[in-house]
Amino acid sequence: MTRQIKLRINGLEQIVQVEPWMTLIHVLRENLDLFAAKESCGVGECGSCTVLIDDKPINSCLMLAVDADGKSVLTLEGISEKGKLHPLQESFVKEGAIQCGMCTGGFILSAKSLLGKKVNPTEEEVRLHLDGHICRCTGYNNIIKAVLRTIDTEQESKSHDQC
Amino acid sequence: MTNAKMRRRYVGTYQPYREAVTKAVGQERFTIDMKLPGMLIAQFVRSPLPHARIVSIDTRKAESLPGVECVIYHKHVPKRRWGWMIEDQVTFPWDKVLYVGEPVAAVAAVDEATAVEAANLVKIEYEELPAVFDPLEALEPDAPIIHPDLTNYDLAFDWRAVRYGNVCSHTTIAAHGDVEKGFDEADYVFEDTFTTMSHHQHYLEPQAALAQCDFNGNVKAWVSTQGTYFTQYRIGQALNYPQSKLRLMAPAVGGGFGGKMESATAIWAVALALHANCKPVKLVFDREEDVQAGFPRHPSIVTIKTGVKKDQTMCARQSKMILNTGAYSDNGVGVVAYAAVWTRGPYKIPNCRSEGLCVYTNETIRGAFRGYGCPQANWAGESQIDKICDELNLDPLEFRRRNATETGYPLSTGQIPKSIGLVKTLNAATDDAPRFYSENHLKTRHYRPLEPKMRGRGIACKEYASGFRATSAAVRLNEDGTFHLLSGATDLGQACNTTLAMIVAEEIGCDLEAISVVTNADTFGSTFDYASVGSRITHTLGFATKEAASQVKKKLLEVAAEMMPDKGEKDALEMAGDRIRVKGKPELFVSLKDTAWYAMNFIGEGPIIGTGSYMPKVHSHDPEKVQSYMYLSFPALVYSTHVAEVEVDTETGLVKVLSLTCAHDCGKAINRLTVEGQITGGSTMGLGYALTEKIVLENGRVINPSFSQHGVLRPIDVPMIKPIIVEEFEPTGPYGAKGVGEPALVATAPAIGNAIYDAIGVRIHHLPITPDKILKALKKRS
Repeated sequence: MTRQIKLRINGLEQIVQVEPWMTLIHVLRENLDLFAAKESCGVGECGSCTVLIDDKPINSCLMLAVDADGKSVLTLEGISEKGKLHPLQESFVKEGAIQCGMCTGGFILSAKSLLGKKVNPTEEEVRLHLDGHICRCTGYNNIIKAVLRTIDTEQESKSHDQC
Repeated sequence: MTNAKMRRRYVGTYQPYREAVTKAVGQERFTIDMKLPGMLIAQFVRSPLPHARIVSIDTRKAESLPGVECVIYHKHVPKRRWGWMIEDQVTFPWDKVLYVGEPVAAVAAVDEATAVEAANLVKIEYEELPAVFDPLEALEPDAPIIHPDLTNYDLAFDWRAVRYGNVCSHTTIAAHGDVEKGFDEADYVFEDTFTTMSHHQHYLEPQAALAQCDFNGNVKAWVSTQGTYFTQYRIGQALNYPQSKLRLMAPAVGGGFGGKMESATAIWAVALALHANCKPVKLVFDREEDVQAGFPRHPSIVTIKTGVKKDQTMCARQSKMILNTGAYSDNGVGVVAYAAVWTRGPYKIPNCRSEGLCVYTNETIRGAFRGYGCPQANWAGESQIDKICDELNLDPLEFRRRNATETGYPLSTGQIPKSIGLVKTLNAATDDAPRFYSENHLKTRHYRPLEPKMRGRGIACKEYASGFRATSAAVRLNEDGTFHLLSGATDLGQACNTTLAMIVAEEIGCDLEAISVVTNADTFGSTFDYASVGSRITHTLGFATKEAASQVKKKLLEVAAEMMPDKGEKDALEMAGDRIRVKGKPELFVSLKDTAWYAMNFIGEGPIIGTGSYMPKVHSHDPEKVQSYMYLSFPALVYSTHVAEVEVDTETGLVKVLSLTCAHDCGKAINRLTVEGQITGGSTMGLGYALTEKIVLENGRVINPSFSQHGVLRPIDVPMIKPIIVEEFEPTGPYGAKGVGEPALVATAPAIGNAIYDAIGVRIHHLPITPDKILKALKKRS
């Protein structure tokens, strides 16, 4: 018995027919062709299914699609605008924070929610904020460096604006 | 021959890679993302028992469920055995099942829910047989025999297999000296046993394959694999299908680490596709399936005996390794032989002997996993060295330097490596320190009172191999002066295509941006490569790629010379990015673009294509001295030293890794960014292997399949690892390169174990070093 839900995805209103048992990740990937969020474990342990709902990182494999009705969802596909990389995406590329790429979307979205929330987070605080994510390729070194570098760059440009 | 200080434009730089951008924006497609119109979803019917005779299979109810396209089992596929070295595996068993999770039948249906329901409707009657899970029990004379027909199974080639009972391969290496004589000469003899458990690659993208067959029997398959050609061969073998009709492609692969070398999905996806009325069939594992029925690491039992003389040199080393290979041999034959080579360690030991037994049990198939037997061997060898130093009151860095192997000294197989950078890694990882521990520290460390938190440092080093097997490459010039590189390498995240493009750009002398790599390792559109395994792409495929590029360069210069007849011969010309100019007279040039156009239209012998074809020579062994598995031949040897600092919580047993320094001799680092990435990623996997990761089975069933249950480390568990690149020129590699993908993992566990010993004076012999083991050992100590 399908239900109709309304989602605002990456700024666009979408109306989708879903079964009540479908997870948000299932609907994103199967109904809406938004592939960036990946399902690696299906039990909310790895963070590769992460999307932002009201700027909060959510494991979309643990959320029923019907519970996302009326919500604003941001996926990895939605953070670069008009062919320009988001500063996080740029840092990830430059710092070698991406190897196979399966965990990338989750890390970038979670890191995005950290930007602007905390001034000068320590390396440990960044690691703690991202602890819901698993990467099997990089050893986290360059991911942490990329996030710290973005935070530094953001703050530098903010202080320049103030000058 | 080599000018280490030569300025190069690309080789040796930090080069972010192109696929990183498409991955950063979420545009990169993995096999799990692929969709085709009319696609069916597949589901396996798996054995619930570890060892049982198949009495009957009834698929009628499953077949008649609406939405089911086909249900297949042994009668739908050729009745034959196949495999890598021993042809012991089956597509679907017709006689008996050998492990929990073994595929017995498969279903293709319109959606996942229907496929699962249909799978549950397949009725299989089993007659349970006694099962064996412990390899030592499997070696007993009264053990159930898992493969009664073992000695009649075909072999891939005559590798002089020694096989009997439940032993699929018994390797012996006694090619260096006389180990009995060596022990007679020793002043001290140490004998120890070390063990390791199985752990899983836990790549983020699960095993997956999508296959479609057309009316003419032409198959297209997209597979999350480490080798499209490797998989193509295996499918052809298993299904008696001509390779010319098997087109294999690898989209972006979400991690492999060895676990996607053999096929857990592709053979069956194709088998289903052949019965699915030309509809595409997609097969994706869930996490549980992957751990139960993938190819995790071999658990090991190693006994190792070392003789040391008063002058602090090792004079003899003997080892016996028992590997639990699970229900089928898969890569076990290779892993056990490799492990037997690496137990000696990177040392000048004149008398060596090692044995390895690869034993069948009724457990998950164990396969290739980053390090391929070396992590197990290294855990034993380097832990024992630390023990030797401790008992003889020697410094472990001094001891290693004194015994270190160097270029010209043979491996335990008798082969002499051409490039050994071990000592450089020892020095780089320790900042050229004369000693690892001060004399005072060695005297007092075990007399310190036990505090809630105790710190320690440990060191370990290793020797391993890189590169082997056949490969080829082609470089094509486009009419506008850009290039195509045909590469059969599957990109698992190691950015091999960027490394190969850098080699082409460097060799030709053109801009890196001008090179486009034909990706997907399409067996129809690229050139043969064995597989992205064995730390061999940069070294072996890189060598063939450089050759292909150099041919293109030669032909380009010939054409350019004809275009500038007054300005000299081709030897007076040089490539310079977007142009070809006269050496010393940069104002005299022709553009690459014009040269390309003329080459395709008027000048020269035809479209410019360069090819490279390479297969490193196989070192031949004395069959009396090296038995069972003759492929123990390594073009390049890689060395590394890992130094770890830990803090042990003596109340909880938890170990915090404070720092990890990893110095790797990887020959010339082509792309320093990816080399460092492999070192930090691989050593993190090594930390997991050391401290937390394990697969726990009960009667052959995995009880801890999830990431967290298995013990995969997270950002907060890992320090900022310090990778150090040491470059010891390798003559058989492009620009002197060796590999680093697997070596990165190896020396981590003993470095950690040795650091823990330094901290709290207890030596754990059994990986992983979980808190319960530390607490138990501390209790015993007090």
